Amino acid sequence: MNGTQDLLLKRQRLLADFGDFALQSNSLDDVLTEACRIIAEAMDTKRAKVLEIRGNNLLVRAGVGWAPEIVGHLLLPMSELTSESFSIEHKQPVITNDIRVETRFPLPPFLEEAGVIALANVPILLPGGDAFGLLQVDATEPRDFNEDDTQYLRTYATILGPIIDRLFKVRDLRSVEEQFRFTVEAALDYAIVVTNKDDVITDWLPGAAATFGWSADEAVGQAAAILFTPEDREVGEHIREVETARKEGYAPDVRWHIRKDGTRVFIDGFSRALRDGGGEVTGFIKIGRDTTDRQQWQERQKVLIAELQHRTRNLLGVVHSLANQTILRSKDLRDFADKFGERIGAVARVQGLLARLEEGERVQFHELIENELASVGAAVGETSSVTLDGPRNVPLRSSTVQTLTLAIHELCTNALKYGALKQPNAHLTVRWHLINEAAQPWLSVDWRETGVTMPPQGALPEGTGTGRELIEQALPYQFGARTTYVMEHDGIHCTLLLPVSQQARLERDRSE
Amino acid sequence: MSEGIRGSKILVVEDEYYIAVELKRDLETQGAQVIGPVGSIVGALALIEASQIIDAAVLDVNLNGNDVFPVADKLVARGTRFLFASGYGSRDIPARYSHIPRIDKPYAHHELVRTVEKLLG
Repeated sequence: MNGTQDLLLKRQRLLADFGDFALQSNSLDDVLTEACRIIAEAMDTKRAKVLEIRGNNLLVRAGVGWAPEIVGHLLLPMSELTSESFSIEHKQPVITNDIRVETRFPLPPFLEEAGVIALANVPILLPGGDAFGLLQVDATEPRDFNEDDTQYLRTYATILGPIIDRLFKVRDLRSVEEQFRFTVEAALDYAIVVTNKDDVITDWLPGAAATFGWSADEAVGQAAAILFTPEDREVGEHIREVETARKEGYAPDVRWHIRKDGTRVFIDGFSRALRDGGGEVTGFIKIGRDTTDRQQWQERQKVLIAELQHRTRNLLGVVHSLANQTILRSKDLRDFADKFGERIGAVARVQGLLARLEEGERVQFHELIENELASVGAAVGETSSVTLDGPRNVPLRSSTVQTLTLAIHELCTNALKYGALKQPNAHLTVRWHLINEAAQPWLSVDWRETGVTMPPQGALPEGTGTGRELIEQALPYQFGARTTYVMEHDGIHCTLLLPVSQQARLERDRSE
Repeated sequence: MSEGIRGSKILVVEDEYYIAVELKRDLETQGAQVIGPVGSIVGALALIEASQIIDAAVLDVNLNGNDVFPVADKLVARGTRFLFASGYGSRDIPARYSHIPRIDKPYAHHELVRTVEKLLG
């Protein structure tokens, strides 16, 4: 009687131990192995195993007293004839007290090979009634598994079902969570930040680290407001965003943010409130994408459009005043139409030169003069009447190109109509070079026509008015240029000293 | 000839030579005495220093890429009325000048005259 009582107490203690273990472990394999160990001890058999249904087979999922090549590896086909299949099919224990006299079921050969004489099969049923598999207790000597043993095994298998079910759920949950982590951690393009209800950072995913420069260690525990620019913080944008997400569940977050190193990053994203089962806000998740490039491009485009607007108005202003100037110096409408058409052509060539420039590039002086000479049909070269002599690398200030072109255009037109480009045996030489003065680079140009038969002294030379005004008045007025315009006995002599782009000095320094 | 403009001293700040020349001619046609024209901020500030009386000023907003606002501030300080002429629209004019009259470039002759008359009015 005492022996029975002791056994009962021992079995109850083992059941309680197993319950404790099962509650603390989230590993199905650990729990099943412990289940085998405890049931073997409770049944005093040294051996026990759990068989899991895998399609039409049973896998020895866990076991004690069984060789490592069997546990986790051995697959038993589930034929209808076996005791295992019968037990599962009928959802009841099947006991074989001595396999040598067993006539109901054929037994798998590995049991006999292992010296198993007696065994008990108890189905493990999951909540809902589906079978997970079997708990199998094996003894190497004949046993008389009695009713107490059978009931204990049933009880044991009954609590195993829900435990396994819970571990399945944990596994599924973990794999969803792992999938989530895997996905978001791989998404470096997206900054993902989770905060608590006070908007303090609790999760900082690698995309956030890549975007903002703070490591997870540095970011977690900080207020999410650190990501806002000082000017947004000053007007409470960070509070407004959280409050909107809290009230409406969602708040757009499309603005410049600040990185750890103080540089700015444009984020296109949103903030969403996280709620618990009762609907209480527990925190926020912020997801955004770094669209700095796109934003900068858009802002640059805005500037360019404004600049284009300005230039267009400016150009209309230039055309307007050109028309007025030309009217003042035209004999009749025919004369006006000719001169005005040529000048508009020069303005159009300037636009063409400027339009071809990349960011930071400048029109070079040689391009300008070659363009204007070509527009009046003058060939440049050893056998021609034009000599050009100067460095090719003279970057002009863009603001000066318009007026300088008009001035050169007038010089070319006059040379073609009256001077060196018209008369045989006359010659035009244009020399230029860079000088440094008052800490800035200047272009010095010498325009000299020679061999020209000039009008008699005192007679007003034709057509020089506009060109002369541009050179003597407009260039000095607009750009601080120093200029001379002299009618020598054999042709026009004109000098220009004009400030040019600072790039000119850089390039000279580089070549020195 | 405009009665409102005749005899008044008007500062012209404009960097485009031809526009400056026309502005001067337009104002002189109305009987004004033009101070300038001048095309740089430094030059404009010096002219303001040197001129005891300036009744009004016409300021081009952009002088070779520089904002004319230091000149505007100096005129505000001495209580001189002025107008902005701008090819930019109002975008680049700070809010503190929102009460300053403005004409958009290119402007018609009569538009300029009317706005200057109002300034002097």
